[in-house]
Amino acid sequence: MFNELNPLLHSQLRLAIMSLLISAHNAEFVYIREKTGATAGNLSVQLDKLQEAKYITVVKSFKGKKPLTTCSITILGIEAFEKYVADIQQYIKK
Amino acid sequence: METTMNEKESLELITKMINTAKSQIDKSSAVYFLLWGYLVVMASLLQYVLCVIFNLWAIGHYAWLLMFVGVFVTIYYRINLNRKKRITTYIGRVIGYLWLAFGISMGILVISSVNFTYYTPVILLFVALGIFVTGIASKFKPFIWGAVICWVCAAITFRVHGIEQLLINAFALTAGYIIPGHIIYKQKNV
Repeated sequence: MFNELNPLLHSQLRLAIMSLLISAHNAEFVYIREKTGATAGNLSVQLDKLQEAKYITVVKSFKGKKPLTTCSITILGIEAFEKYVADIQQYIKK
Repeated sequence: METTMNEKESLELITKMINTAKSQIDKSSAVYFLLWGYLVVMASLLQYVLCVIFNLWAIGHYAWLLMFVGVFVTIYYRINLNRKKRITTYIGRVIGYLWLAFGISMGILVISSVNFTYYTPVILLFVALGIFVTGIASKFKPFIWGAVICWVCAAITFRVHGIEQLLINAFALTAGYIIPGHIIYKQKNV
């Protein structure tokens, strides 16, 4: 029996976001957008979904006069990510 | 937008993204190593020249006033570069705090030191520690070699008590700060 892959993570953009954040203490919205190649609108939607699941925290602040969105992964997010990777490895080993 | 992917593609994506964010030596950090490297080498050589060649032993140590330039430029860059930073990696954070601790230790040493004989070797030990850990954490070999040279120079300056300490100091900082600094600076932006 294989574990079902976490549908929240088994999506290209959300997985890309989580993989970026797993190695960072925090990353800015613009940086994530640049590295994933996503549109701002789509990225916002996916970040919201990850935030609702409490996988990431999103902090909105200001850098000078510009709004600044900073994301970081939560412990719950790290656990979910690690489980997802373990599940995927099961599939690959089969 | 939901894109379906198979397990292999998932792993490839994870690897690609983690490699994107992995800790590499931050190109912007080159400015600190070049700044302090050149300042310390200049101050060391200036004091040596003033004392040995011009026989101005009483004022030679004023060469170290150049360090104030370093302090001001460092604070200026810290504030401005931090504003431009868009990702903070765990290792980057630790390296940042390591150099803050280095700065505090240097400050205390400069304020409290009474025995100038051991000034150079103790500073070189701190320098070696800082660049060694930075080099290991960011997998940047020039710092590791620089640290080894600084440790050797520290051991030598514990025994060489004269003005020649300054020449060894200049050599150590060239190997520990200036050469690695230029190598980082030449690296492509990642």
